[in-house]
Amino acid sequence: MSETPLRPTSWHEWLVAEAPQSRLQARFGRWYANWLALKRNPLAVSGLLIVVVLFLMAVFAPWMTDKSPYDQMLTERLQPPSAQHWFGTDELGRDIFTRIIYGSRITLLVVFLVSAIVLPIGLIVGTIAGYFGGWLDTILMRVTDIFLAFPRLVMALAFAAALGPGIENAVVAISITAWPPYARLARAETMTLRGRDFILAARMQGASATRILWSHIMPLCLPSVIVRLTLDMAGIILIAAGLGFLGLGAQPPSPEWGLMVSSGRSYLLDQWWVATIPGLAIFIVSFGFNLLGDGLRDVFDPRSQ
Amino acid sequence: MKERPLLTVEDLHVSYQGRSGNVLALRGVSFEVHRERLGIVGESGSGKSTIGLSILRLLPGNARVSARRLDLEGIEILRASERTMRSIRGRRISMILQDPKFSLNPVLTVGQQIAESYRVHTHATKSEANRKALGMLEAVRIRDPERVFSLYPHEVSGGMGQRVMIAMMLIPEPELLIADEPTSALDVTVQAQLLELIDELIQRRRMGLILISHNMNLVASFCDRILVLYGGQVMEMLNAADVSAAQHPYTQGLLACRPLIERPQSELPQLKRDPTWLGVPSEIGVAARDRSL
Amino acid sequence: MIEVSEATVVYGSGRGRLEAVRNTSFKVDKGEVFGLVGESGCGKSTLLRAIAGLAPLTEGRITVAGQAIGSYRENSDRKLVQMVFQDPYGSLNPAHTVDKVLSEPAIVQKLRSVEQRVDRSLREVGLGPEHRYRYPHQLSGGQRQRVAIARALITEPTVLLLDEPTSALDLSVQAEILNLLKRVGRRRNLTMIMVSHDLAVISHMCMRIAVMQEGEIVEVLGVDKLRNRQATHSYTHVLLNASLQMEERKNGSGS
Repeated sequence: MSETPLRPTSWHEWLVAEAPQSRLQARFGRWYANWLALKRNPLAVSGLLIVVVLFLMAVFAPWMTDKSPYDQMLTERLQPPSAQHWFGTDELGRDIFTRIIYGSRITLLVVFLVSAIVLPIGLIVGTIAGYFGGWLDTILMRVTDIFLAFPRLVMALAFAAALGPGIENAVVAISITAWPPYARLARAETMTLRGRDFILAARMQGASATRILWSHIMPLCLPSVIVRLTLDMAGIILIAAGLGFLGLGAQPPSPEWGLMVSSGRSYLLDQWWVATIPGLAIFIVSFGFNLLGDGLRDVFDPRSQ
Repeated sequence: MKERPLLTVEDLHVSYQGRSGNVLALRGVSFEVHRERLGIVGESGSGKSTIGLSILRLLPGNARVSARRLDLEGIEILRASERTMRSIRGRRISMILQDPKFSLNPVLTVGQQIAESYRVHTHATKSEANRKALGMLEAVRIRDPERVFSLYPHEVSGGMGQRVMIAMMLIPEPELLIADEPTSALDVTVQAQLLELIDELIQRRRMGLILISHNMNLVASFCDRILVLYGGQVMEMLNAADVSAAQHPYTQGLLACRPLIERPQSELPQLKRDPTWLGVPSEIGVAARDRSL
Repeated sequence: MIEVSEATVVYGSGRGRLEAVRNTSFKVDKGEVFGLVGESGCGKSTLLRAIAGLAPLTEGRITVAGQAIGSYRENSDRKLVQMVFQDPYGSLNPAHTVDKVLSEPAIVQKLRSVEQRVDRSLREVGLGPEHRYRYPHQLSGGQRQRVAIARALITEPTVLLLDEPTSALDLSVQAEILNLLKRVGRRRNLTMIMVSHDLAVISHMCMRIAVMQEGEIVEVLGVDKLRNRQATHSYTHVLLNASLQMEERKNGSGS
């Protein structure tokens, strides 16, 4: 008679089962093992917490505050933090707490857009260059070098001048200069992997280069690329904020944190909260990504097994 | 043999503390080494490498070591200070490892490393040490020692690299040499030469040798006595000459499952692991050990 | 079945020129188990890879079942020659489950009933459904090698190339794997070429043996001749003696 599989007594047991019964169980089991490893590192967990809070803030913004980030109350300009305005108000009487919350959406937008552009481009260019070698490698690497040579801020200025200021253009500008290191990283990993026996076995089975790249090489390059991206995220957020500060990124009245720091500059001495609080937000989020990235690196490349 | 043993190990326990629990590497290992060739043979996970490292107290920080006795001619190793250990390592007990690629410093020449090994233990001058190093290179049968002196590790072959290791480890004239898989990375013809060399050197200097290997053939043909290790415990201790009359089923199984040139078989007998082997050290093993002392 | 004539593999040029394999020729009949033995650097692995189509032939010709390597017309020709590699830790993709490792060749070669094939091949190499969805790091060295063998067999090849398949394994595990290879080879009437530095392993598995030194085949002889010390070339004797020296005390006071 066919046997019904025993019901596991808990999720945990199902996930750490030594003999997974399905692809799904195997894959989730692996993620769970990584999660357990990450959990052991309190700093990494704090980083993760910060990122999660950022995410939740962005999603649940309307529930976290009933005010609007654009409402100006000129009678309540530059009020210090109070029960009514937790972070005080800015020079146009807008509630800073609300603006911080809604500003997280912009930060998150930057994070996602840059990742979505940089990761695929870097991976594809890097793995193709690393796998095929020869003139293809040379051409792709020289192209990479060209983009690597552009300093990000100058590039953003150029874009702003050409296309006009705005957060989207700023993101494109950042992405265009951010992808080269990932291509390099992916290429280095690919070159190590391409002589490995399992790749040779795949070739002997008749797997096409596309299949080898997609199914074998890219999944193995992902961990180091993701770690790098998470660590870079801090820098990317800072640049976006910096662009905002310079007036090249988000435009008023957008509640972008860098922009908030910039417009609060003139009030720094007497009404410190206007510039400092968004500055703190930038710092905390960057730091959080940094901690998370460090933790992920330890999980993916454990030094002590 | 009423001579006092060089090294006495009694009831050695070593465990590694990991994130997911303790791993017991050695569970009550006991043996003695005189000025003889003792072979420790075991498969991966048997704990054989841990023995060598425990004797020299070179285990990583997460290792817990305990023993009723672990002494080198009277010096209790587990209770010795780090200073005492430094005077023992290299000077009284030396160790050579498997792959010279990993045990030689890649940025120093071969000669410099041998000379350094000498100066660490004797405070000799640089020129004196260099002379000794050259002499040592000759002793390990390297032709053209002056030329080899100034070569870097990556410029020498595997076999020569091992000779350099031997030179480095024997120059302070230790009494006991621990060799952990010294020939595993070498070709079979080079292996024979290297073993001959080790044999000559330890005979001449009246040293003791602990040869750790997974290769039963090697240990049986080269050593005087053999200690068979499995799961961190001693399964059997016997004289190499009596190896074919091994009593313990694990030893017998290991011997039987070797493919031999001179004995064609259609199928190799497979080793059936019996969980009762682990637990209390088998009485056969203990008796054999007592017999061979 | 396999014919190698004057195969030469040269890497690099000028001062960096390395003649890994020089002018080697031999034939292997269908169903035969042929051994390539020699010390490190003798070119045996390179020669095997040339037969596998993984190393480029500089000169000479290798044909399998009449078809020259390197001139495969269709992808389906590739499934006939498969290989088992030395390092069980490096021959499986650490990010793939056993299931994926085994189903991929079947999918690539567009074979039918992939599920059943995977199931069957697992059982053939002595593994079970409990191993199917594990990752390589959850398997022992011997188990990984079994998976590697299963992977090689799933496309139903006629030729199996073995590159030191047991060198990295414990003695007891080696015995199991060698027995498995013999069983599988007999059952499927596979033509096998095995490379090893271990003369004992080679003489256990192979019927005819080619001895290689510095890129050349110095002698080809039957295993019986080797056992009876009737080799003709001096290097074969050197190898044999060095290997036998280790076996000396197997029967006590020498035999």
